[in-house]
Amino acid sequence: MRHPGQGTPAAPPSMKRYAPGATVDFVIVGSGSAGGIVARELSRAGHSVVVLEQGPWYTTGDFKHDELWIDAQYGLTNDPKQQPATYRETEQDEAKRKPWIQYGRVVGGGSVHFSANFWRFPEIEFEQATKLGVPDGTSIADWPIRYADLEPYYTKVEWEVGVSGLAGNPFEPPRRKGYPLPPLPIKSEGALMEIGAKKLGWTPWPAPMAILSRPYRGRGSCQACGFCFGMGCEYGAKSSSLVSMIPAALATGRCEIRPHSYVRRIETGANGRVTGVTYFDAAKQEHFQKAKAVVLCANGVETPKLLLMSGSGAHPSGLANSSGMVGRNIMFNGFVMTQAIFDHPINGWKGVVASRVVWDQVIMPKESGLYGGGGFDLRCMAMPVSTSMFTPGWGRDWKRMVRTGFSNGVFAAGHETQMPQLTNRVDLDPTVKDAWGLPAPRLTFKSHPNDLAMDQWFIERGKQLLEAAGGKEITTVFPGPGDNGPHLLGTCRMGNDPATSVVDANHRTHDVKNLFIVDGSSLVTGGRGQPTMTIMALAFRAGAMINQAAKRGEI
Amino acid sequence: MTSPQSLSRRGFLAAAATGAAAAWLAAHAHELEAMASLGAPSGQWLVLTADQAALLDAVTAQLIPSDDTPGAREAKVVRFIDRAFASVFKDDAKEFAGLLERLNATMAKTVPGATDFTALSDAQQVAVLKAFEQEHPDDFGGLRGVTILGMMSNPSYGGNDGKAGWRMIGFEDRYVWTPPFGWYDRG
Repeated sequence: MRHPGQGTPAAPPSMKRYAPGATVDFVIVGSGSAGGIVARELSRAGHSVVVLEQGPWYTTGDFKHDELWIDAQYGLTNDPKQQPATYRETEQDEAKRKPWIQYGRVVGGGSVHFSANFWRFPEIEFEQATKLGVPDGTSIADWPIRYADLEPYYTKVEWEVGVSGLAGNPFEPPRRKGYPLPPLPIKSEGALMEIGAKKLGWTPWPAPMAILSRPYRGRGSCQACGFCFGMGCEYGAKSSSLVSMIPAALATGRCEIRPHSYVRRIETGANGRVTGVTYFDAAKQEHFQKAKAVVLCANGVETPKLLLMSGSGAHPSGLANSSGMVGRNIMFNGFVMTQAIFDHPINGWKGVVASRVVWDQVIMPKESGLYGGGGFDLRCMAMPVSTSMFTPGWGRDWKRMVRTGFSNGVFAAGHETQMPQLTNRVDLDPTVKDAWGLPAPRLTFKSHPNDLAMDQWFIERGKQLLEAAGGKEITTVFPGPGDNGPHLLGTCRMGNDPATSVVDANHRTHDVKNLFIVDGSSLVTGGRGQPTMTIMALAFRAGAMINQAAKRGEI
Repeated sequence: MTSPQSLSRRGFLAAAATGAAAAWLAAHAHELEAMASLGAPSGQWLVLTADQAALLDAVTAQLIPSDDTPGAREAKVVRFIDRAFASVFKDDAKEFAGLLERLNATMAKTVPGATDFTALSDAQQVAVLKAFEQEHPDDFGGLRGVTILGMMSNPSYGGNDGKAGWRMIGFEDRYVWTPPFGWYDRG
């Protein structure tokens, strides 16, 4: 059996390779949801591009159904032993080690292992300060762009990477075009969502998923194998950057992807412009890649970490950080799960994670007194080892619980707004280092009262949903708080005011003309969960904006 | 700078107790491959003593008993544990031996005069494990963790023999499924 970790396949022989010392037009840090798209857009426009990726390069043939590997999903993500992280609640506390960060650390990034829920942000997300006000203790702000600015790029994401779904959900914002692919088949959890949601007066709807329900652009369709969550797709049906964008970037003949390349510093010249990046290769040898411009797509923690590590005389508090906003406002999205047992088999371990969603709560009902919004899906815990580990106890009763939960258990997963707060931030731990000697990211994070109240609201409504669907033995299995996870958002927020934001509406840093950032860090507010599609839409838009600026000679 | 080697000390057992087993396993990916190819002549153990193997046989059979569905014995969980501590959990082998000694100490306190877990009655064995869980929660979590891995991991690792663990929960390892998946979507 061959696993990820053994015999990493080489890059395609035809891939363009730039000579050491060559200056390329763009170096892109990170090859995930944003990096893959930006690489394709810039290389297609004729630019020379080098993409530096921390992790290895796998192909679909490396992704197997080996339970140790399924459970060991960190095989595709950052290894907390090599790259520790620390956490404290407030600035007065001493930070302790805690693996709060999880990000895709392979070519394709988090889009390789994600669940592929592809929800657009609602229109109000982009103008909440104006429409709903700014609650105490939060840094809620309007985005510098509106939904209408991003809509063409949401549509572009759906058609370029391949998304399955059904247009017409009354809670979805306006769209110019339907989905390129019909919804994936309904599962038993979805059928129960239909029953429960309708009883509560809600609107169950086919889940939009970045997984192919039909063959599309040379890729095969989903075979319902059940091993999406945390794992790479062996069929290439999951629309990751790895299978959708990166092959197209390589096909231009102008894009080189370098795996095992861990950037430790963005270098700046005497004029304050960036000149390239210094990175470690697989053998921990240092290299300097010269570039006319740098695009950071490293995620909502690695991007601010890199900026804070790249301070210099001209940028004493870290690069692009004259506002002091780099690393602030970190959000993970709120997430809760409640479980019920049903009389008949669900077998959620077959098929994709979610087949039906409910978005009636996309704007919280006024009587709730809560700010923001969210949505639900019904899902199962689909892996034997993780289900068994997760089910408490042992002995005969435990056996019955594991067996029943595995086949007949369903979770109501609530996805929620989480407030941005200036005091919730990532910076550099003063003492803890990673295996390369770089500072560990330190999280300072305390939930806002609205976050905790949202968790409770979604737990209660989740219980009602499961009950209405006929569920029994209802228990809350994940009550929050959302102070960790794979959604790393808001740490280099977009804005028009250089005093309160890091990048402008076109993803150029306010401070450095030839430095751009597009990834989860760009988000001003975190959406209602499921941020990847928005990150991809921003990446297509940023790619277009950067190409236009380059054409005008304005980089 | 902390080296990856020093970080792996007291790795899996501690990780399993805190629910971070997956992260630990991922860090040892390369060794998993070696483990899958390990075989022992029948009747011999790679690292376990005969006493340890007998103790583990009785303990894991309490943690996952055989009843109308397979348990740890049918899945050959002890074979998995033996292979694991000979390879991927090698750094934990000493710690694991200490854990088993602490289990014996708990037994001596719980059932005065007892010296052999395997000779205890069913009720006594359960009482000892409950006391152990209270007294040494991390040890118990580690023991439970390796037992579950031996039950549910891919059979290539030496446990889950004949897919006994997967039969226990009704899982089938196929690569293609077509609707209906369950009872409620049968149309």
